[in-house]
Amino acid sequence: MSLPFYHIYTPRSSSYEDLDQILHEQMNLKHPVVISLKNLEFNVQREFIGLIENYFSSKNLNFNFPYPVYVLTDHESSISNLPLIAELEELPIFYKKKEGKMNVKESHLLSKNKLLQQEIHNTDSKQSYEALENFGRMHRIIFDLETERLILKELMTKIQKVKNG
Amino acid sequence: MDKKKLIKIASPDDIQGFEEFIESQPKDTNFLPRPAVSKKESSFEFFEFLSSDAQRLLKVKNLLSQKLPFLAKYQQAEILIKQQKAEINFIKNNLFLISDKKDSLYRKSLSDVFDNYFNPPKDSN
Repeated sequence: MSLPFYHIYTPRSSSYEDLDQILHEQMNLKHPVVISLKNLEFNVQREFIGLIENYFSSKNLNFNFPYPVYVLTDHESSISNLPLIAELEELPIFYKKKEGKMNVKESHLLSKNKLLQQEIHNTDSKQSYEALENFGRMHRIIFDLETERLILKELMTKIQKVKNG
Repeated sequence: MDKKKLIKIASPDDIQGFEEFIESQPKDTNFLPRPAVSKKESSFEFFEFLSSDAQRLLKVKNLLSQKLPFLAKYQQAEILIKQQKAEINFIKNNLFLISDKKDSLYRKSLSDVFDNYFNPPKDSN
């Protein structure tokens, strides 16, 4: 049993077979993953990002849960829903640790976590992603409307104050 | 503890009557030697990390399996948006009614601006 630290995968060439070897259903089940595309050409990187995204949506898998899948690339993070990073330093430090030997209690805890990982992995990814997106979108609308309402209310109060002298 | 050391440390009054017993104790005790445990093995280096990760996983699991289905079933956002829109329309309507009056501040400010720019200059004589 390995600890949930970053596993970094690097496709050796721009062939799809290389990417196919990296992508599998349980790639982010037990540990966070970093797919480094830095050694590929800029256009190929864009293509690979699209392929990775398609893989996750077609298999109904979530690239955020149980552990996140990061893509190390030269592209801007806005081009994809995947978490894109430009440098390894941008990765959350929580999972940056050196491998070591676990004691009995730690091994026991890790095996307990395995059950949770499996439960998260088994949830309907598409449904949960849509629900999360919808929740966020609705709350952005509520925030905008509330800001507008407060501005109008303030304007109204000021006018009434002046009117009443 | 070493017999000689014990005799040296303890005061003569304390060991009075036990001299023979101390002397008769064998050098090799029957206790098993304590197993040598490496420092890493007993340091719980990853215990806190794994506990935090377990907490994170539990929270994610609750979010995905309990909170999100509940939110999807009992949506509050649409009702809130409807209420907010109604209130915004009400305030806008009131603002328009106040501003549309002939002696309103809005009209007064507008006429000041227009008069300033488009009225023919007043003859000072």
